[in-house]
Amino acid sequence: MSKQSAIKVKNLIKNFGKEENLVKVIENASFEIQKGEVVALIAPSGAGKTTLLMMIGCVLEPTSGEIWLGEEMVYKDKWIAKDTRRIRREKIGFIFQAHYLIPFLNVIENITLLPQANKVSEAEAKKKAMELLEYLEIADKAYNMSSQLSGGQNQRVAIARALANNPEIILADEPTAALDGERSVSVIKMLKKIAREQNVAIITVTHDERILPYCDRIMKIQNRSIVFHEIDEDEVV
Amino acid sequence: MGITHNTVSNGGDPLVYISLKDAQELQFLYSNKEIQNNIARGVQNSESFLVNTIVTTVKSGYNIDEVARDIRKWQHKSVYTAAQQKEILTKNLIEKSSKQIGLFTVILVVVSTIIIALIIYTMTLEKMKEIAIMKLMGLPNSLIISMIVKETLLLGVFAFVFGNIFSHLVYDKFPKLVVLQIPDAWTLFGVVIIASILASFVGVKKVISADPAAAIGG
Repeated sequence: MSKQSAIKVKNLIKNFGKEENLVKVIENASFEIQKGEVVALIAPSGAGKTTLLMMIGCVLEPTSGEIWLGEEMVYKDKWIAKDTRRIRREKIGFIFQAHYLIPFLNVIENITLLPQANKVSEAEAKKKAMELLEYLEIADKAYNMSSQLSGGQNQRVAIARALANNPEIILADEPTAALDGERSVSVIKMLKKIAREQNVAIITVTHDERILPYCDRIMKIQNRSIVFHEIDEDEVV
Repeated sequence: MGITHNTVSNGGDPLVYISLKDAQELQFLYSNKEIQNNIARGVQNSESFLVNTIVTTVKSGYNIDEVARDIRKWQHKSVYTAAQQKEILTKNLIEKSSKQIGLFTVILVVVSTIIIALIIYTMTLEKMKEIAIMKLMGLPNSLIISMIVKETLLLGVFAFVFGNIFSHLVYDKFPKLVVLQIPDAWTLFGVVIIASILASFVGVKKVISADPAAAIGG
């Protein structure tokens, strides 16, 4: 596995409110996630999982600290990147609880939307989309509408969409929440394969303990701090 | 004399051209109330000597307004010059009717615009999660807004096409003649496009205010 850093966070703090209404959510979090790694983010509800994910995803501004995505420092006590949307478009792929594909676009149009917004030609974007669909073994559904696909097939299309821009990072928000046990394991195995083969760092928020053994590390938020737990290869069933 | 095509009176009724003699016969022999009353009373061959209009031509060298002013001094007579008659017809009848219909059209267009805007607003609200996801993925506002505007335009064009088909199916069922002209249809198409773009503004405003953070979590 390549040891290039995909995400580096230093002394990250996030507070909400001021003075007597101050709520501390994340305190002095520092960690690094390498490319090719799959990290599960777990914590009780309200502990700050979504807040952390949104800060790494350049959606929510931290109170202070540093965030590096790949070689680029995007935050140091303020946004360094002037256009955080551009950072998300170029560096990050998102996967959600449900597929949230655009209902009036077919599979391939959903996947090519983001690359085309990044000025990639239509032909090139389609070629890449077909490669991804073949990689995810769903190429025969390229011209179907999402309403014609099963839940598992739609989630694969959503994964293809997240990979369409060659991101360095994938942030997944409970990607297996809407799937049954067998499909959940199938999706996490696929994400692990993607992480290894495409050299992408994946952080997945999850409450699904069945998928934890397939991750490389577990990141827990405990008392507003980040704690890592390594997964033993032997734990994987 | 004969049937006229695409010509109606200022009230929208069919129009027929006949000679003055026939017109007078029609008016005084067949439709005059006095004659009708006499016929009802059994009086035959009654005639009416009423004259309602005299058309005169002023010889050159005379001022038409002065002649009209002199005649107005006579009792029980009203005088209108050709220019005044034209003004009465166009200003008082055709122009007022035109303004009336125009105002109705404006009201209908405004109501239609509001309805399209409400439909687009509702459709946009239903798609807020998808819009938040598109913003989260980094898609520029311009791309998302163009989708909303295209959707609204499509709605407007569909409404225009179906409205036109419907109009062509029912226009001859109207009690008065309705003339559908192609230039009017193009003007309406332009109005529909402008109204659709205006209606899409409510959806666009909603897109701009969508929070990408709404895509993550619950």
